[in-house]
Amino acid sequence: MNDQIFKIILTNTYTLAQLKKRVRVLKDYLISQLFNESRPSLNEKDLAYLRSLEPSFYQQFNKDNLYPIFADLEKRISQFIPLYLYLPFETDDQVTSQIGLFIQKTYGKLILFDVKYDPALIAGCSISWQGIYRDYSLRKKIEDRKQEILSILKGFLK
Amino acid sequence: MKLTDQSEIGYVYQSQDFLIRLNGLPTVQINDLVENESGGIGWVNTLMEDYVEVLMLNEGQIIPGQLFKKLPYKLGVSAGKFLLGRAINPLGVPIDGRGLLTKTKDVTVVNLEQTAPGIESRQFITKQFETGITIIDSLLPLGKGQRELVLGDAHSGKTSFLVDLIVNQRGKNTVCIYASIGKPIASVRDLIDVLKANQALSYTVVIAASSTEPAPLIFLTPKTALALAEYFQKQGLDVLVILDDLGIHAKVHREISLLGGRAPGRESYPGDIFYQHARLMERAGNFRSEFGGASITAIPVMELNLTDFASFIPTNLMAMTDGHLLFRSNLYNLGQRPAIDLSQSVTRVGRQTQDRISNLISLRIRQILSQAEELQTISRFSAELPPQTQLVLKQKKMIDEILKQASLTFIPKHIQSILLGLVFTSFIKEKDEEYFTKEKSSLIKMISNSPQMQGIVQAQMTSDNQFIQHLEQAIPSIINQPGGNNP
Repeated sequence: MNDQIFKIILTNTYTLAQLKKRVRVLKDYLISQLFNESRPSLNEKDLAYLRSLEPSFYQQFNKDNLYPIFADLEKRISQFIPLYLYLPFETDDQVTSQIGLFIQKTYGKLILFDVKYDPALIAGCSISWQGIYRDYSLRKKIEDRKQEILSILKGFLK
Repeated sequence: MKLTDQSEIGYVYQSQDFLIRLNGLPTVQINDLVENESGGIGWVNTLMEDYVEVLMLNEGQIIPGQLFKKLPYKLGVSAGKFLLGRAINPLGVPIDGRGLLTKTKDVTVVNLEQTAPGIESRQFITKQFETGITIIDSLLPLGKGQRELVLGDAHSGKTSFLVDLIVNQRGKNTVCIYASIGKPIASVRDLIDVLKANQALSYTVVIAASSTEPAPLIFLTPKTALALAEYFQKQGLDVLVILDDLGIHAKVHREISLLGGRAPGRESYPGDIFYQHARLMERAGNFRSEFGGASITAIPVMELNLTDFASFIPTNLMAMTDGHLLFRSNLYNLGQRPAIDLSQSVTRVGRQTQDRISNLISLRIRQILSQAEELQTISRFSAELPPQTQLVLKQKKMIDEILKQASLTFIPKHIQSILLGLVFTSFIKEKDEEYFTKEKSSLIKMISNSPQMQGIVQAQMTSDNQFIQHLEQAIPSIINQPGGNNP
């Protein structure tokens, strides 16, 4: 049952931060529903996510299994190795979804990523996956051809 | 930090003081180095199934999620003759404010962590390590390649003895390496000044990590010292390595291990503390010509707590060295310099390197000292002592005076033998111990100037009796010199 729940949560979830947030929101919401506790204050984005889930999904939870299910989900999340994506700009949800869909389409499997903002890259991106870092940024290209660029600039100064 | 096309990286997921744990770094090995973007250098110390334990070698803020890149080189230090006369930290960074170590880019880098050379590379210790200190060269001789522990109370003159060891190596083609492990920076500065004032810095390398440095850096100090010692030894130079002090080193290792969650053992030291020290000690020795042909003489130092040398670390160190010199503060306060307790000190290798006459004279001296020890107790109850007992007690007093030696003085080995030999001649009837107290330096000068005494030194003698006979005949040559008759 947990596999099915996890699969539903992962639908349209692309980043590790997004996954953690969604699980936390869902947990808070279910606690408030099942134990008549005060309802957590949720923003529009969170409410939209909760509304997107089918009623049959919520019916799988009860007072007895709620905590064990979420303990299992949290354990699964902690074992996820994300793909770190360094970008020179801050992304919005739309860009995140586009990147996520591209990654899933390219690799054909579920890979969660984490976006890290690094303006020093100038343009392009760099990625890190399972401890290996690859740089495809403009900064790297400039560094590789630093001497060449400097000599051209010196030519202009003359 | 400069990341290349493809770099190996890890992210901090836990940090505690100087110890951090990283995710990632798939092919990292022990002793690799990692660096973060603010220049913080970490040393990979432990590999676990799902994380890597790193010890930070410099200060800096560590935050979870911070990126560390694996560096292309292992823990090492640049080695070369350019290090002579310089003070560096355990990573080879100069700390004496005299700028770059070398301008040449092509330098040898030696790895700090190296396995000690095996038995096939070693040879019997046959040459004496001359210190110019009578009590050592005559009664507790050291061999080139020996490991001799120096242990003693605080304020018992250990440091001045160590300085003497270095200063007296002048002109002997020996490289001295002094590793100051977790000592106050002021004491390191003082030591450098003393060495400089005595022209001893030109053949010495000082490696220091002061008490304010991060614990992992202090921990690496003796490793750097021995890595450099091995470098110079392979160049065919005899090396003297002083590790001051391994008690602090053990405490630092305990701190690192406890922080890393290792199980504490006796006195809370980790289980591998013996291994850590023994691994260092066995890097010293006398090596065959195919392996450089020179020697590494190691002098580890340990300060004792209330003269308790039966505790864990001192007994460990005694077990892994070829003897020990025990310094006592009460002897120091009585004016004995160096304040070595002869009866409790041991040398296991040095005697085989001594020449025959020195060895026989040393044996006689030790016999006299042990006899006098027994007779001294009896003499307290008797007003009139037999002449033989009186002679032994007088000889003991004279020996004590001969063995006293001021700091920063050098007495050549042949003069030491003659001085100690005089105790068994008629010289003792004419002079008393006060003569030695007041006139020792002029006596040494007279011996050096006497052609007859020089003849004794050059003559090939086979027994101590023959040596003493010749000495007896040469006494007038000293006494007849100006000032000789009238001390």
